[in-house]
Formats: sequence, structure tokens, C-alpha cells
Amino acid sequence: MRWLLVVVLVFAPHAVRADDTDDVDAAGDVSPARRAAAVALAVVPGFVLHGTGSWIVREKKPAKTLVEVELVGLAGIAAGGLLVGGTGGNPYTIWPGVPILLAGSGLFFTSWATDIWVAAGGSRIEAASRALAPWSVEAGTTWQHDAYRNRALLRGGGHLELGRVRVGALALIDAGGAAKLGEGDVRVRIFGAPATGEVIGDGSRLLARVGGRVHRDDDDEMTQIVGELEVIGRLDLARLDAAFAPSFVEASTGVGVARVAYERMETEIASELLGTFGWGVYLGTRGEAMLFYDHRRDGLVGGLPAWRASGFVGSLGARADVRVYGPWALHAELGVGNAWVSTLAIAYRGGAQ
Amino acid sequence: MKLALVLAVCACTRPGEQRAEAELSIGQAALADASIDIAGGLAAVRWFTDHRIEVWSQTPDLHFSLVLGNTAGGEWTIIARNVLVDAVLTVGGTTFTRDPGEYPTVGIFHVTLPAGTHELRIAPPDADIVEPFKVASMADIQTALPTVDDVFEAIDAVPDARFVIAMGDITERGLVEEYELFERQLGTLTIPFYTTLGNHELWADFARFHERYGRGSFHFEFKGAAFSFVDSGDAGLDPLVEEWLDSWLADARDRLHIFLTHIPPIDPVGMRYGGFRSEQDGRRLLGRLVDGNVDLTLYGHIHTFIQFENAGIPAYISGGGGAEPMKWDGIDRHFLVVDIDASTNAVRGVELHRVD
Repeated sequence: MRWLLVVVLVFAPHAVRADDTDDVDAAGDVSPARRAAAVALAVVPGFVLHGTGSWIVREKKPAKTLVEVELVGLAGIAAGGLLVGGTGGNPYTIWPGVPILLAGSGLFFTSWATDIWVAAGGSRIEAASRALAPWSVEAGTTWQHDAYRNRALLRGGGHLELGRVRVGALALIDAGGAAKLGEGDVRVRIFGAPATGEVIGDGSRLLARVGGRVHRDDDDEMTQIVGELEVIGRLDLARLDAAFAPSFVEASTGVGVARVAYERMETEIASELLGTFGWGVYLGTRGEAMLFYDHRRDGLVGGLPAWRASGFVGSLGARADVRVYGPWALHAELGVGNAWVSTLAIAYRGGAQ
Repeated sequence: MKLALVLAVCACTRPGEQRAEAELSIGQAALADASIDIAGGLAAVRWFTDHRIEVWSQTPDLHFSLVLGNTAGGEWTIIARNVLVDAVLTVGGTTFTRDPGEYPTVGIFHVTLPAGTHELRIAPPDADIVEPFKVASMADIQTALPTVDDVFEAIDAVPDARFVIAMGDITERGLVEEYELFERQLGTLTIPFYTTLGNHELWADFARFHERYGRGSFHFEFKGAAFSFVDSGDAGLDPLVEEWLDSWLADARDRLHIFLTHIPPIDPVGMRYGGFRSEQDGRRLLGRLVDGNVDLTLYGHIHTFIQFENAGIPAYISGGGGAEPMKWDGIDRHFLVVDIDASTNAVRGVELHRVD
């Protein structure tokens, strides 16, 4: 269901900023003190009433949009929660209950983040998205720290765009030799700009992804092979209102099948539910940064020890991808769940610079 | 403050560390001239005062040592709660029978002990005889505490069930009043109730569980069969708990072994994610259980009944203690009866008993 929402939002007509001078402040009309208060109030009580921060900086139309998105999100949380929680997790309501719940949560949290962004005057930043690079390679390291593991994994990967089709691969090898991971996927661009690496006005896109992953862990004497089918969407929020620029939201959902082979026992087949949502901003024309939630538990990060909700909650993360010198870029990522997984990699992006 | 606590827990990779470490001191108490040490931490010492001991047992075969100084010798009253109705006290080869108590599961013993070190055992006479026996199993009482006596009465009606093994979530919020109600309801039950804790016991201070019932992770043997309970209340095992489990698995490798924990390591309905917060850790646990030749795994947390296999080991999820049940699954309150024969290293059967 989430991808339907993404499709609707992506194809929505570009929003035109209201000309009503009562709703729109002229540049510099908002004093630093007012803006600081707006940011603080956008956090609390803005968490409950989205648009609070925007309203205080006199961005009334965006404020109304954020309230509407929040209400849709809350409706999704209620509907998904009713389907899943109300039935005690009956297997027949997991799909579409959990995706609806995640979509609702995504709308709720990203509209909250957007309100803080508007309150902070984020739209004053000159930034634009870049089309995906036609090809790239990267090398770096990933550090996994959890209750049982402290591992430094060397990583290397790359991707190549062939028209609408993107082929990618990534390998991670534990420096201590205890774990090896290999990932590969094919993404088909359904909607969005061609992968030229050029600066473009709108980074919105919709992708279908087929992927596979092999994870061998010698310490746990287990090999896991996962096949995944996923839809990934991104929406530049300037499509909804210029005040939201240069931020974007991203969401995905899908399913996976895992085949788990143990050393001395039967092989098992398990199902996986994939789901993410995130909110990010473009950093000039150099790259982007994003905060995200990932619902899956089968990766290195796992789910958060979320006190009463432990087991039901996935992980939180932050990701930044910035071109630092010509085609050279830094990729940094932190995932916080059962494990803290941090990644730092250097990448070479092909295509337009 | 509460938000800060939640964030701190979320940021921690060992949320159960403090809880596991707290278990190390369970079963130990000391006075100026006397000390008690429960083997395996298998009982909570509720009272240890001048010539009076009160413990809550988490095993049908309780061993403890009592060290008495010169002023501590004399007649001692030992109140052992949650013990088998036919349990007797053995001290240095002498057997003491119990006084008639308020409840069948409360054994009261009067014994004269001189200064010195004494090894005591509270167990039924047949504890070491390897022969078939039955136990009941259940989980997830939570909001149904006011009516759980129905379930206990149904368990009482099972012939030859020796005790209950439970997979946690006996309370909804871990409130003192809930624990008190649980113990009042246990008055209906004529056999002991041995349980680990669940995520709902962690809604409040986990010490409430530890102080009343003892450890959440513990292991005992009875009539040749081994039982390992582990605390997975926050959807994972602390490495310290895993270390204990490894030793229990090694000890019982050649014996019939039943493993219990609240949250299933891997939810058989994968997309529901009702298992461990890390599937890698869940599978790591299953690998250990296979290596340890575990014969049966019992879980709660999901309020339904599911029979399946995990890593080839027979597994049951039985969350039918009365907590808000799963809808449209055709089952409501229930418990299991496990038929065990350690002489053949076999679980002869696991029967589903419906209460509603």
C-alpha cells in the first residue's frame, strides 16, 4: 500500500506557493528569536500538532499541508495498528497491516521533521538534487558493534546503469575472517530522471528492485541467503510546497524469502517484510543526508531494544553521501538497532560532475 | 526523565546486562552469624532472620547450604514456597516431613541445626528416579490475572502433572498489586509454578520479579530431565545469560532437555517479527540449542498456539494464559501438558488443553 501512496504523491501536480502575502513572509521578516522559538515549538508541542513551527514563521499554507499529512499518517497508524495489534498479530493481517502502519508512521514522522525544517528556514538553502550517477565504485569499512560482535568489515562495491536498469553489487568481509556478506540487485527505474549524474530540479523517482544477499557467519555457524522484491520511492517535497525545499522523503516496501542453512541441522525457509521510510535534505549540489527507519531484522543492525516494544521495532539510521572533490564522494552511514553499525567509504561517481 | 531512560535503553547494545548481573546474587543472604546459599540461585530468599528462613523455590529439587555460627545454632523454621506437595526436607541423611501448610505448595519444616555448615535439600522422594512424568506449560496471563484461577483449576484436573513450567508475562505492567494477585491466584493451584519473566515484567522494576521469585534465567533437573529457562524479556539474550545457557547445554547434552523462554528466537511467521530483535542472534541461539541436543522448545509472547519446528527442534508457542488473544485463530485460553520420559530421552507427547 505504501508504494501506492508514493505514486500518488510523486504524480501530484507541482504545488504552487500561495501568493497571499498574509500567508507568505518576505525574506527577512522572521526574526532570529521568532525562528528559534518556532524550531523549539515545532519539536514540542509540534510533535503532536504538526505545522506549529511553520505557522509561527508565517508559512500558513505549508502548515496546513503538514497538518493534513499528519492526519493521513495518524489514520494509517490507526488502521495498521488496528489490523495488526487489534487482531493480536494474526498472520492474515500482517500484510497489508504492517505496511499501512509503516506508511502512516512514515507520513507522521517525516511531516514532523519537515515542520522543523520549515521553522528553521531550511528553504533558504540553495540546493538541488542530482540525478543518480551512471556508474560508481566504492571502498571503505563497516564497523559492527553489538552484544556478541565487534567486527571491522572491509567493503567494496559498485553499480552500473544501463538505460532504466541499474545493476549493483556490494561485498563485505570481516577483517577477522568470521563473516562474509555479498549483496547484488537489479533496479528498474519506473519514474524519475535518467541516471546522468547531472544536477536536476527534481530528484523524485520510483524504482522496482530485485535483490539477493548471502551472509555467512562462521561464529554462528550459519549461512543465510535472502531474495527480495521491493519498491522504492522518493519524493522531493518542493513538489508539495516550495517552503519544504530542498528536503525529500523516501520510502520502500517489499517482501523477502530467506533460506537459512545451519551447520548441523535442517535448512529453514523464512519470510521477511521489508519497509523503510526516511526524511532527508539535499546538501547544495554535492549530495544529500537522510534520517531513516528500517523495519527489517535480518541484517547486521537488527531491531532496537525498544524497552516495551522490543522485538516489534526495527532500526534507526542516518546516512550522508557528499561529493568532496570532483567525482570523489564520501559515504557515511550509522545504523542503530540491536547493533551499532557504522560505515565510512570513499566512492567515485561517474557521469556529469 | 522517562524519555531519557527509553533513549538510553535504545542506545544500549546490552539492555539485559544489569538484569543478568543482578541474578548472580539471587539465593544468597547473610546475617551476622549465619548465611544461606541456594544452589544455582534457584530460589529467592524472602526472609532470612533469626532462626527463620522463607524461600520461593524455582525448582522441584532445591539444594542449599546453611552456615551457622555459634549463636545461630538451634531450631530453625524453614518455609519453602512453591514446592511439590510431597516434598520433604533432608539434612545430613535425616528426612523431615512438612507441617500442614496454608497451601499445598507451601512446605513448612522445623529442624534443629547445631552450629556448622549444613547441606539441605527440599525435594520429593522420587526426584532422582528416572521415570515418566508430566508437566503443564503456559504463558501470557497479563490482564487475565483476575480469572487465571480457571486455568489453574484446569491444570489441577490433569492427572499426574507434577508442576507448571511457564514462559513469562504473568503480569501486564509488573505492578506490585499484580504480583500480589498472581500469588493469591496461585492458591488455586496445587502444584508449583516455575516461570521465567517476559517483556511485560519489564514494564516496571525487574527487581520485583527477582525479589519475589528469583532468577529469570535458571536451570534444574528432575527425574533425569533437564529444564532451562532463559530471560529474553527484551527480545534477546544477554551474553552473560548465553554463557550460563552454554554450561547448562553442555551439562545436559546427553539428557532429555526442555528449553523455555518468553520470546521465540524466530517468529514462525517471519513477516510479523514477533521474535528476537536480531534474527542473527535468534539463529545463533537456535544453533546452540541444536548443538546441545535440546529436545523441545517452549515459547510465549504471541497469544496463540503454534506448533512448529525451529532448526529441526520441536517448538510450541503457547500464549494462552488469558492475555488479549489473537483473533480468528480458533483458540483462546489454553495450556500444554508435556509428557516426559527421561529414561528413553523422549518427549512422549505435547497435548493442547483448552480452557474456554
